[in-house]
Amino acid sequence: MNLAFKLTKRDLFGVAVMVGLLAALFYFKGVDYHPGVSEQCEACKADVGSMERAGHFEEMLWNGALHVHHSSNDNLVQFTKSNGFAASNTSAIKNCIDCHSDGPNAVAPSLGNLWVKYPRLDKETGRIIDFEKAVQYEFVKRYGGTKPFYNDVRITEIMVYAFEKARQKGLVFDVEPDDGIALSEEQLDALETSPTCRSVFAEYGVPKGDIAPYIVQGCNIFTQTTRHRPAGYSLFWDTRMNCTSCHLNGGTKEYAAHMADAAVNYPMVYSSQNMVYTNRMRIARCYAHSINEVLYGSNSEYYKLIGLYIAWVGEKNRLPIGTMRESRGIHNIRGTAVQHASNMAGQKAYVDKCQQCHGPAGYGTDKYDNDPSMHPPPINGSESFVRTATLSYPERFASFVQNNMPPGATHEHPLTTEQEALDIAEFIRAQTRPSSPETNNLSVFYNYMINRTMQWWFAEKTGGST
Amino acid sequence: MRNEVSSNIFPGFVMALINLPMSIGFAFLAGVPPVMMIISSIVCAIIGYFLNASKYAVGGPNSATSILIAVAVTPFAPQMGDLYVGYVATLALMVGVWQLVFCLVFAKFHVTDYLNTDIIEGLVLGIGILFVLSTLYMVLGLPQMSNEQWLTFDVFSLVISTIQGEGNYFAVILGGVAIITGLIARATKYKRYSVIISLLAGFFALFVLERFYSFQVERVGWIKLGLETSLPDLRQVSFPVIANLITPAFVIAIIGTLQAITVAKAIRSDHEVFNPLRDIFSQAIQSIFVAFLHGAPSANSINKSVAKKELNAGSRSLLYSAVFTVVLVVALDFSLAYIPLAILGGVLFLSGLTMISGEKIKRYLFSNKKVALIFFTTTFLVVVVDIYTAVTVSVLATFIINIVRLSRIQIDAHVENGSKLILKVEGTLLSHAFNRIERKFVQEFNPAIKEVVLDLRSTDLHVEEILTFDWITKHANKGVSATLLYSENMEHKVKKLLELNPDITCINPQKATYTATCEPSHDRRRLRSVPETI
Repeated sequence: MNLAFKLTKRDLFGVAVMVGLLAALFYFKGVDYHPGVSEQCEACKADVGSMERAGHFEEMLWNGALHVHHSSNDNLVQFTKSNGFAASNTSAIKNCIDCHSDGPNAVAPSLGNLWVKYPRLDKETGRIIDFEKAVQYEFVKRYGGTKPFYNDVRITEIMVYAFEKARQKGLVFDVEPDDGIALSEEQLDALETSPTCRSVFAEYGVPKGDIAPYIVQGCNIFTQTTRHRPAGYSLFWDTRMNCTSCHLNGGTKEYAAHMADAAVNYPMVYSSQNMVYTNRMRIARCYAHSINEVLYGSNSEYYKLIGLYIAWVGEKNRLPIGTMRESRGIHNIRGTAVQHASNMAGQKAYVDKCQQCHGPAGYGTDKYDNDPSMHPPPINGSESFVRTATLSYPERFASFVQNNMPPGATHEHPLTTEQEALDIAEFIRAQTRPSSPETNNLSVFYNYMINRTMQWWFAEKTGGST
Repeated sequence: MRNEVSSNIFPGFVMALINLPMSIGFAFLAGVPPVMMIISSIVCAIIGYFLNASKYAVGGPNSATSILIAVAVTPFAPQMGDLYVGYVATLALMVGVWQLVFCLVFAKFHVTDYLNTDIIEGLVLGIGILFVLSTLYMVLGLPQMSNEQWLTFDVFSLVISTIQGEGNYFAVILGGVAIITGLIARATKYKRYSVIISLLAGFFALFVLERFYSFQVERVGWIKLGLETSLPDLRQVSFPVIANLITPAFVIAIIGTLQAITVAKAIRSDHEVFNPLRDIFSQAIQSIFVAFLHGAPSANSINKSVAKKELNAGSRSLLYSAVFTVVLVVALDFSLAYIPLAILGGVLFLSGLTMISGEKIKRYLFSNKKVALIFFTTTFLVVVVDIYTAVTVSVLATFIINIVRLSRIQIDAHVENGSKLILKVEGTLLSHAFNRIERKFVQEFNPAIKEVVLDLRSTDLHVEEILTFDWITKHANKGVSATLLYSENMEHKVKKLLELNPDITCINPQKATYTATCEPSHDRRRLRSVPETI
């Protein structure tokens, strides 16, 4: 058996000829796909303006503008049977901008105006349609026969375009009809509205119109995520984290990742992945990478309901699209004015200020089981937040603690010092928690089993404050 | 001419017919526009014609590489986007470079010899399971897998979403028809045409359904085929991502190499020379070229190579298949655009099923423990952890199991006249075996023993380490006579052992005996650990 590696002169000659042909092709044809080089388009430039930055968001915005202005481009419009277009007859196809322009002769609302109208209710199916789904349906309706793919990047690029147009106009979300009838107490009871949602509705007003029950559902999922998970998932997975465990008061507390800020700022570049995330993608990421929940599939109704609730919160706060408030997100404490964080000092501060609700071992307590308005999440163990959650970084967790913990604390009137917050964050960082749910990663299960065992061994639910 | 038609043109046409839908399907799994995979299949066919050593080797879009592309690039760019396409081109270039490196390394060290059949078949089974699971979303009419959580969870999500009515029942029907028809076709003598038959059956079901219902399913869409030039994304700003692609490129190159070896080993004609290195070189050139021609990484395909052999295709059939692929894309423009993804998913599902062979699983299940362990561990790790871990663990496990098995020794201990302990050792003697000898010695030794004989004549000594012999030397100090017996041909190795272990330097080469007066001058280790021994 010959195992020697031999190349004959004929082989080398063949490779040389092929390389020559490739070089000639490049010489005569130029480069068709050049990374980082976008197609030129004067109309797009006039529409979205010149790019001051050259980031990924701007790249997608430019591509979105290209799609909108050149929808007949074969990259976007799928060849169809029902409208009888010939494959080569792209001129017969209208561009998005032909109907959805900002001009006075526009026959349909501009994409910017449409951006703030979604998610909305599809009365035929009784399902929530977000902007992404709406664009897909529009393609089916206008171009017939086929539709672009789920999660198609081109849809995201059009979303970036619409978002930018809404931002330029300073529009505010408008998902709730102004003339609708507010839900009654009986209806709220029938929808099993959570206590946190009731307090949100007390502040912002009870949702109105046909879409109101869906807003309540979204709020329920947001505030009682584990209780309202789809049937089936509880058979093989468990967690005790809810969205509102970090986005306090149903996502309406400033300096605790207020959801209005999220609603008006996505799509946004998610810097750790260098990708533009839509709201739906961000919610899904939070599910997998923060609250240790199983992903339901990107088409899930649950994500859309949460998206609707978030948009409603944005509308109620009257935040124009793209507003960057100082209180948005979760800040960083650098600890420059304090001593280095200490785990031991953190443990002492934890006993003083946190243990009462989160339990001595951090697994939570059962003392609030009969008080659904209080749901202190576990900060230790397999049912706690994931290692990749924003709060798993001590500097950010410290900021969260200082601005929000113990309950009653605010940014203006914190109940812990900066040093205490950093110490507590350091102590919390040292606890066990679920690992990042990377694809095909056995460590998820390894961590799950270890944490479960630890939890069972030390204290499942202590029930006491000491 | 008739011979040319039967041996090259017709098989080339059939291969193009099979390749085309598969290439489009692989593109969706890899997250790239279909045209990229079609270009890959054409480029690989042409280069393969010139460079492949194996007669039946067919390169091009491939199940394993498609999944690996998606897993590698999805975290860094949205699928189907320009950025993603640029990274895929970079990945292709890196795969090509890795494979060129493999060519040099393998030519010198024959590393491929260490990749046993059980590892390769375990990998194929694991990738087959992944592949079948990955095609499910198309058949169910659901969004693709998230690639953000454990695959099994994604599959659970698909099932639960289907039950909750988020999927598309028309897609399920179309996919089901394609799968069932393909399975039936495989049981007949028209097995090699099963892809085409299942596609046609799917289309028939589509037309019937469209006649009675109005519905929407996802379709392939318009493919604009052209000779396009592209550059891999090697911009400075992309360096962090490129650094993250080095390992996936290595794994894709390894998988491609394994497939090339499998094809060269298993699918060759009777008088063909086994020379997988040239096939690997051919793959390397193919990958580098597709990086500049708007293509995606590819590898030799086992399924397609089997099809080529079954068709008894000649060498020029590859060239004809490239030509027919172009002709088919142009001629079937509308039909290709109109193919529902569910039907493609069904066809790919069938392709994945061929990698999950019940016969093989059964064979390994009832084979010896070691082979079964390696095979099933490899499969398990591919599905549960990842392919990188699976390859590493399997190769290491093979080495470890082999070493442990080889170094198992037999110790026969008996006492003569109540005072002479004879330990007769047989087998390959590695350093760790001395621990076993020590345990046996301690177990058998009693105060009445005045003489110990360690008979190593039937062993194969492979010890080049510093060891502890105080278990015997401490008795020698107290007057017990210790003798080491070894054969003539072991002299060189024993000498080395003595050099490394100075506490036994006073051994007589013929009749090695410890005495209390034996006192080596340069014993580093004894000074450190057991100074009172001698």
